[in-house]
Amino acid sequence: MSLNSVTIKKILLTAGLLLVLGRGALHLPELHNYLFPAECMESVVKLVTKEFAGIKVDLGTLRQRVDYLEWFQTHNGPDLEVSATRLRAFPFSETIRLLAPGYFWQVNIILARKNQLRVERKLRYLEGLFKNIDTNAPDCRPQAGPAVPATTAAASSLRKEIQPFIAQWPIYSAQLIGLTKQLDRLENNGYKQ
Amino acid sequence: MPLSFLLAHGRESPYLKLPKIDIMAEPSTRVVRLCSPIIILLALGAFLLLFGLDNRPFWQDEAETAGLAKNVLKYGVPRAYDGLNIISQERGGEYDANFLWRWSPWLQIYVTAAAFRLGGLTTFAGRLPFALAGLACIFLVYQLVRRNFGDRPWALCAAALLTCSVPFLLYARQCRYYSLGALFTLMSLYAFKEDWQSKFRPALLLCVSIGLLFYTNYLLFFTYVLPALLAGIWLYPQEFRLKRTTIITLVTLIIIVPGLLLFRIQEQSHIMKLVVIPNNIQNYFGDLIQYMIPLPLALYMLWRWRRMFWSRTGIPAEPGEKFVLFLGLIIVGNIIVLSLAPQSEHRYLIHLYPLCAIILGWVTLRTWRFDKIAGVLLAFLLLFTNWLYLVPMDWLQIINRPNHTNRQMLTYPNIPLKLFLTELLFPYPDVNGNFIRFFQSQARPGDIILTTYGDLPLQFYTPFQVIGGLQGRVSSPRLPEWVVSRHEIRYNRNYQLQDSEKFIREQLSPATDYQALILPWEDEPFGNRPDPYYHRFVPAARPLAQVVIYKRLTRRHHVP
Repeated sequence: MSLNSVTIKKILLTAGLLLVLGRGALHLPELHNYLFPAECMESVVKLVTKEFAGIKVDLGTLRQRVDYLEWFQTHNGPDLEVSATRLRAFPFSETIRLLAPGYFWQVNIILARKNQLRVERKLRYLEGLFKNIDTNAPDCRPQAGPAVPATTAAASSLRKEIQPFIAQWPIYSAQLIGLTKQLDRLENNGYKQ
Repeated sequence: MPLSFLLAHGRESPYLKLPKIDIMAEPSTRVVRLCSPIIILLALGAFLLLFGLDNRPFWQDEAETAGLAKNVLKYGVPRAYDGLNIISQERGGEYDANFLWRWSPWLQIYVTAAAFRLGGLTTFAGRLPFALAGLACIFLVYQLVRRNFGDRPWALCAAALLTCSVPFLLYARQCRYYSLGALFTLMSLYAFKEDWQSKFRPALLLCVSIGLLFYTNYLLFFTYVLPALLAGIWLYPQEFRLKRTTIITLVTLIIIVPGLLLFRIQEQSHIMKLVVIPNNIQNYFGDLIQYMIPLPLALYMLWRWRRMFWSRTGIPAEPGEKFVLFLGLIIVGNIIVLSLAPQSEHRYLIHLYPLCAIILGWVTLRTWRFDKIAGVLLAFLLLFTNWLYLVPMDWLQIINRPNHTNRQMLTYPNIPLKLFLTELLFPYPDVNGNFIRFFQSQARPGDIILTTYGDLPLQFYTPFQVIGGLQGRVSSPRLPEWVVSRHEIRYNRNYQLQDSEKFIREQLSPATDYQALILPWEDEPFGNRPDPYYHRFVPAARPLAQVVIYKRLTRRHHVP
């Protein structure tokens, strides 16, 4: 008996929904922690790795933008030629710089501040997370804030894996403070036509 | 002749024509009515909306409404200053020289004030009218579908989906305009589906509901009315007769003109920033597929109606499907218009939840009629889980979770109703509750409390002067007796540090003038915030940050 297209559609639809059902059930906190206890620890490492990668990128962007604004302020004029390097880094800003320098300045200050805020919040969050791990995380109960490992052995292994990040934290924090000061200075001096 | 006699004997009079009712069968009819699915749904909705309504205190935004309502009882109008405290979250930009509130519309404030007048200055009374409006939304969803399309299963399914929508329940249990917005949106759709071109009552209902939507929140008004009008003209052109449409537009304008003059809409438009529009569009569509219409279903509908985008022949002929398309267009248009506004917040989408429930109910019934097993699976996934929303997003690597989320929140695959019931049945004192309790027991009359956030709940629940927060420039006659520097750093709309944060960092010396009290509660950012990205149903077992309260040292406490 050959399957007609309606039957195939029905089978595919049901299979798709069952797949979502199965996947969702596996991700339920209670079941997930029971079935994959090791993933709990991995998820902390993954999270920290991801956040640090994000911080690195955001700090890089912030530094570039602060340099860009500093260059603009130092040369003090909207009539500077468009540069291909800057166009690659900030296509929108470099395009509008000649047309609307005031708007260019305002937009870039806001974007830089937003960037700074994002990094600051991530660093604060990680600071709390590291403190939790330092004080010897006891369990991986579902209501735990960020997932933290169950056993002392797992906790010490986690600490070892996270150690480089803990060492990196003050460096990023110091970089952020420096860039914030630079940004404050730029904003205080403002854009002068 | 008594009405009961007429009812019993089915007599006719020139004014009254009644069907004959079998008196013997009446009790069982009553039982059937009481057990009818919509009554059961409404009872469930009432439980979910009203049980433990005051488990947690008002959080910042609710306390703003409640504080202004409290002042309405005192002054008759919403004043931001009551002689002790100032209510502000926009650095004093919300009121005029006389402290008259001119920022957000007043309807929610007066509704709360009326509730306070009847039920006293309590959390329960403040939230009750809005929870009841949420319940009315569930009934209206049922009634709108049933009355216009005669499809009872669709009506029930839509009402059930709204009843089980935890984000909707969270927002409807707030002392804020959210459920009122949803109610007036539904009322306008209800009126639209009646014969508003020729009858007076539906036309009046249309004007009033749209007008009241403006006084609920004008952002909802602007973002809903324009797309609804355009989608209506596109899909139901024959219903827009010029004369009646013009009259209704004029009457609605007359209703909203006082509000246009009273609220500082023009001044608020200064905070519009073109640069945030792409980000807003991304956020709102992200919210839509994460909490309101799952991505697979959204794609199915896009595919189904693809021809409609370039030809009128693609418009479905079946009235139910046409109405679903109408709602879909309203939602998309609403999001596009909404993206022009400065802040992207999930709360501006709440009035669209009932519309989404109607759409999802239609899709579920369609699936059931196509294949029973798939229909049951889909209904289960939509009613009891958030898996159809989140699992496909995870597969596509669309991760949309703020830092502070944990696995017991709606940002992870979960059974939302279970989380919601856990919070209802096992309440916990949240951050605002802890602060309120602390200051009620520790502070003395005349004390000044400076906090970087959460000032408005403290103002509402305690008798002290509370400064700081997002109120703008801090002016204190003396060093505050209490200082709370919250863990979450607060910035203003231009991403600059809030004045209260600045004041503490630059003007105070907590290390020398204050004693730091580290308390064993989590300094979570918001408290009972309903936003599904932030709402905590259960407390974190291991707090990321503990509350620190600085108590001013008296002279004898000073260490030389």
